[in-house]
Amino acid sequence: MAPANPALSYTGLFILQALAQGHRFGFDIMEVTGLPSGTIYPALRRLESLDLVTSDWEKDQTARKEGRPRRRYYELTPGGKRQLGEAEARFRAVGRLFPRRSTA
Amino acid sequence: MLRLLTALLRAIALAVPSAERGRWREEWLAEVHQIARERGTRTAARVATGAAADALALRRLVAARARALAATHGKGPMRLGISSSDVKLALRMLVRYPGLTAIGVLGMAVGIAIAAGAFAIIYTFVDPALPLPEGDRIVAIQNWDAAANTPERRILHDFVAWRDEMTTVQDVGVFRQVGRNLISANAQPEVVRLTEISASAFTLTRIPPLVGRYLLPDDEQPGAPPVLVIGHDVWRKRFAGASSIVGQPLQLGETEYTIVGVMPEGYAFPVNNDLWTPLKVEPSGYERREGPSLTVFARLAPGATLESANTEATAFGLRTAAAFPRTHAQLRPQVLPYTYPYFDVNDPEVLVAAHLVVFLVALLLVIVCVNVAILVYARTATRQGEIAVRTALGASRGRIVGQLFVEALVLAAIAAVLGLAVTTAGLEQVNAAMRQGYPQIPFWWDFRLSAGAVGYAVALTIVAAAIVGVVPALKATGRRVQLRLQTLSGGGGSGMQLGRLWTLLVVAQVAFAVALLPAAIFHAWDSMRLGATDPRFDQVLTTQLVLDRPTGATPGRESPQAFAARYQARYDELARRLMADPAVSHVTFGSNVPGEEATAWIEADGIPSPADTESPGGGTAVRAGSRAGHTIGTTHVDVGFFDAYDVPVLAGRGLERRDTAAASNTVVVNRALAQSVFGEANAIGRRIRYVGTSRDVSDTVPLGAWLDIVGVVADFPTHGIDTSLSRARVYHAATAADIAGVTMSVRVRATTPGAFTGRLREIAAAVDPNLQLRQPASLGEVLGRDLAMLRVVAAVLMGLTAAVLLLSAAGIYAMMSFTVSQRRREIGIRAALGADPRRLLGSIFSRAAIQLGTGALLGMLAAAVLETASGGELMRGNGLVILPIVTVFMMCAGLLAALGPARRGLRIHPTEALREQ
Repeated sequence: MAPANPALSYTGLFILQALAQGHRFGFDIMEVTGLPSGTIYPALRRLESLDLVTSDWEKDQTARKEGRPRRRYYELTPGGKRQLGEAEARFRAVGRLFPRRSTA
Repeated sequence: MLRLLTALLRAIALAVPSAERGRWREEWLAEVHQIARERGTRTAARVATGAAADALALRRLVAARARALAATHGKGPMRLGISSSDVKLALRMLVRYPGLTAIGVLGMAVGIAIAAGAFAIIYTFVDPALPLPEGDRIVAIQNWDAAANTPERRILHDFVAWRDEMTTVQDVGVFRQVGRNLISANAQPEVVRLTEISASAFTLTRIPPLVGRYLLPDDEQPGAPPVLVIGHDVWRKRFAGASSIVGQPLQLGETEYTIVGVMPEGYAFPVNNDLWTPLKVEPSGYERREGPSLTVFARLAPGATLESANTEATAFGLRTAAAFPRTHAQLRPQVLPYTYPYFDVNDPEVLVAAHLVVFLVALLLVIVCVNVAILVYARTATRQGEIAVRTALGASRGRIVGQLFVEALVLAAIAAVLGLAVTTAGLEQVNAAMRQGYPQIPFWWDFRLSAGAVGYAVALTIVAAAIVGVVPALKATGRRVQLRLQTLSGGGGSGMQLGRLWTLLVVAQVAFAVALLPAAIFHAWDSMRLGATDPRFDQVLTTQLVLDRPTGATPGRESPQAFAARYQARYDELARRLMADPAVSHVTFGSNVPGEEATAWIEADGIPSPADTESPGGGTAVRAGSRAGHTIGTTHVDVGFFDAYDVPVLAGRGLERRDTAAASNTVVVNRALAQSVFGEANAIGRRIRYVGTSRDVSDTVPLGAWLDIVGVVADFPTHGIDTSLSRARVYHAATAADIAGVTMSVRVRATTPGAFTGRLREIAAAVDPNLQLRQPASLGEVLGRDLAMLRVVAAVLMGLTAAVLLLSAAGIYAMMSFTVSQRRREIGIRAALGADPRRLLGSIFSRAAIQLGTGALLGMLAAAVLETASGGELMRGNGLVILPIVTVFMMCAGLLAALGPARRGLRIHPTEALREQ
């Protein structure tokens, strides 16, 4: 059975759920979902083009302090949250898929 | 290893579409570096393997997006394709043409601000919302006197009948407002407004008291102890919000009331009130159509409508008229929305006028927008190349019009935001000025930007954008767009041709500016310079002196003669005690604040009136208010009035005690009246009579008796509302008892009116605690209050005039500059063929001058027609100064605009001009 919205694949659903749990950048999402990078990043682009996810860049200062390029952070849009809510209503286990990210 | 990964990612990035490449690269590099640091390079390498797949996916995504975009914006029927990139482009255009942006935004902002403000103010009057639960079901019931065309307010008997018998209304109640001195042990008496009201008012408004209770029907019974409910402000200010307020006494005039409750903040029913006591009036004590003036309120019963209530009221009125034909034959009961009697919305003329004002103000915005559109059109002309190329690349006409519309919409939206901010600030000013100057205005007249006004502003913004964007865009993308493409390839300039239409626009624009702007400038300037005050104003303390009439409204307790005698005695005693005070130099009085005399119309014996005052019936009556005769201000003053204000008697004598006799028919006039009516001739001994006053209600009034002029005094300095500093005036002598509510003027020395107010209260309280000093203030302050409102109006007028003037000049400039630049090639060729540059310039300027001159001439003709039609009111003889200034200003703007392109034309190299050809 396909997820609620035909535009949303299981991968997309997993990513939305991971984002909802506070995993905000590519590698973090990879780690928690166990999906390969070749799947995660394209899926993020697709979700972004569907306005389910939005991205923002880390502050220049923070990156410079650590001597690396800026990170790109993703988060759910209201549309993404709604979509996830609908999916969760259908698949009750979705909410328990991934642990919430510790804020530390 | 990390370096290798970095290089690899940079290489893969080349596969990503260029628009996304930078961001893609940055993200991947950040991820890989972070992973390498945290988990080692091996994990980083594993993750990096996904980069290629990601790059390809992104490429596909971008391509799909581009296809979707092309499908939306592709050729097709006229369809406005608008995207966020249009908005970005529009913002870029705004930055690129800062001059146009500034002028356009400013002009439209002023237009929208004024339109939204006018809408908010007018609809607050026309359709106010009563801020009470189900406020729209609260009604007023009045007895309309069909003969006098005014409401009959002595309706005690009718009120009782309506309350007891009508079924379509409930909570029927009545109120009246009376002034009382609030007397407390440790402060001077202060005049307050007491509302005598039916207890049903509180069940009707459905607002529970904050402390204690509100008025109950038992309180209205004769013999019930006098109780009082106070407003939140009174409670806070006078009783410091004491919780033990219930049961405390409050002395108002002769009665000591017991406070039983406090109403919550903002409660001000029925008008703008904060002290409520039961109205104890016995109808049995009065005949029909006698007794106190009252106002009736009610709430529509469940299921009833305004129509059903009116049907019942009309039937009721017919029965009453049949039963009491002598008093009630002309009375028609009406049920109205509660707020209507305060602003006569019942009168269709008022309604039409209100809508007309809103419409005319909106029309002003349209005029502003047409000017901005002309500017935008001139700019669009410079973008012909861009439009042609885009058309060639497949952009539909709708797409281009859409883009230009979005540009205009962004411009208009910025103007709207700015304009609404100005309106909000302006309305606050108006509210503050109103509350300051007129504390008794109804509580529901609170001017604010309602949702309706904002909606109206949004609609106007879209209309403005349509005028500014779509009209020039349609013109610029017309059927000759293909031709234009060819012109472009040939290296030619603008392909836009307007010919006669353009000439017409220039002429119309100049004519409009010359015809209307001088009058607007004059009035704006005239209003701004108001407020020239006289030093005497700041030495005079004015206050209206009122004496309590016995409460209870039982007739026969004190005859009018006895009251007049009492009033005269109190005034004389007060004046005597004041004069004994070393700080007081003069005490005098008049029937009004100086400068606020009632308007009336007079004619002089033996001198034809400005208009025919004879009626067909034989010359004993005239149409009132038709302004036949000379317009003057009339007032009754104390015989010492001129002395107190240092007004010298120029001829004859001043007013004397004998002039106050009832049979006396002597008056003193000011120099302005003597000059305007009698010219250089001596006015002493001449006769005048009234032919109408502003208070006349019926169509005709009997002519007044002839009055002898016994003296001419200098023009009394006046203030703003009457803009001519030397308004004609007629002074009658009067005693305090004649007026019995005099406006007293106390001229002080070595102190200020403000500092003396306390002393005045003490002295007045010592004379009689029931003497009410209403609104004591320095004359300067009193006159300034009215000026505050006038200044708001003047500022609005000034802003609008400035905006229109600026836009007209800019519009004329743009049009002239555009017409001349269209001839640039012609000029170049003629110069190349050896024409004399001076003659060439001459021909250009003569053509421009003919256009401008025609416009100016038409404008002046229109101005002259308008001036005559208004009876000289528009510019009041200042046209000869202002008209030429505006004309010259517009001509200069036009000629200056022609200069630039003409000089550029002359500077073209001859070969270049020939090649263009």
